[in-house]
Amino acid sequence: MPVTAKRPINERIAVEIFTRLQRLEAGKEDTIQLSEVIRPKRYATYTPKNLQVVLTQENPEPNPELNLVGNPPAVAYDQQFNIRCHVLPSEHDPTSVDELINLMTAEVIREITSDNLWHTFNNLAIDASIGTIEQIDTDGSFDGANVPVTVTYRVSETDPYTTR
Amino acid sequence: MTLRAAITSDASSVFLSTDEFAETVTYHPHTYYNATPRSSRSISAVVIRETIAVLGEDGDAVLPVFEVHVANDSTNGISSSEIDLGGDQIALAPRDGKTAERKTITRLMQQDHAMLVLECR
Repeated sequence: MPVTAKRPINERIAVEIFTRLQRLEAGKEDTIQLSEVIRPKRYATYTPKNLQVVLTQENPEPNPELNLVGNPPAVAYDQQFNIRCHVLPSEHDPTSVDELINLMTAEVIREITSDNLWHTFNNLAIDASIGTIEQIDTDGSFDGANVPVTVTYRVSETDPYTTR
Repeated sequence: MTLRAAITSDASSVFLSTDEFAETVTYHPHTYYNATPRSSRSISAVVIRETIAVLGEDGDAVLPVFEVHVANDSTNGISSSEIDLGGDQIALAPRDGKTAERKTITRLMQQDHAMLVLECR
């Protein structure tokens, strides 16, 4: 798809999350530096790396309590984004895997929520929340944790490109 | 020549012959922080491609998995003593005819005196 195509609200929120995560690739003085941040293609071509983040999303769930009447009405959705933090340290690294996961997930949460109005994602969303961190089960090939971020947004029923 | 030595020799000269089923790939050893750098090298390998594995219970990420058979040898293959399952990579063509891409060695699936079977993603 051409990059210049107009983006719906949920995609613009995804891009904003991705952009915030990319700041961690540059590294900061007092914390870890991510190796890369990825939004996978249908047939994923990335290779697992230590301190890698993969951003995916689930199906948007309707949130009828926040709908607005009108013609057309406004419809609200809860969209969960999964920030998958991959850890694959060297066999020579004395750091425990749990320590790396704790550091990485903490840094991801701090960066996503670093702005006072972080939950609006540049006025695109109504609210957002960080869910329970889940361990990633990859049958032993590498470790990691998922940081779920649920974003509530509202758009016109006939125009998913415009917030209401 | 003992049977053990014959099997070890056959692993390199027959099974991993590029005139038969093997191909040339590049081994990129990971260098841990402050350790002496290890250089990349070309090796022979039999690569089994295009197995898809789903990552995570929610199934929202899939990755191709490659099964790579190499000699357990620090010159013509990869020795089991040098391998680092936390960053070593192998550059291989994801599909026949495509340009080689680096894939991380994520697991040592089998090992014996002659050969290693590696999982790369």
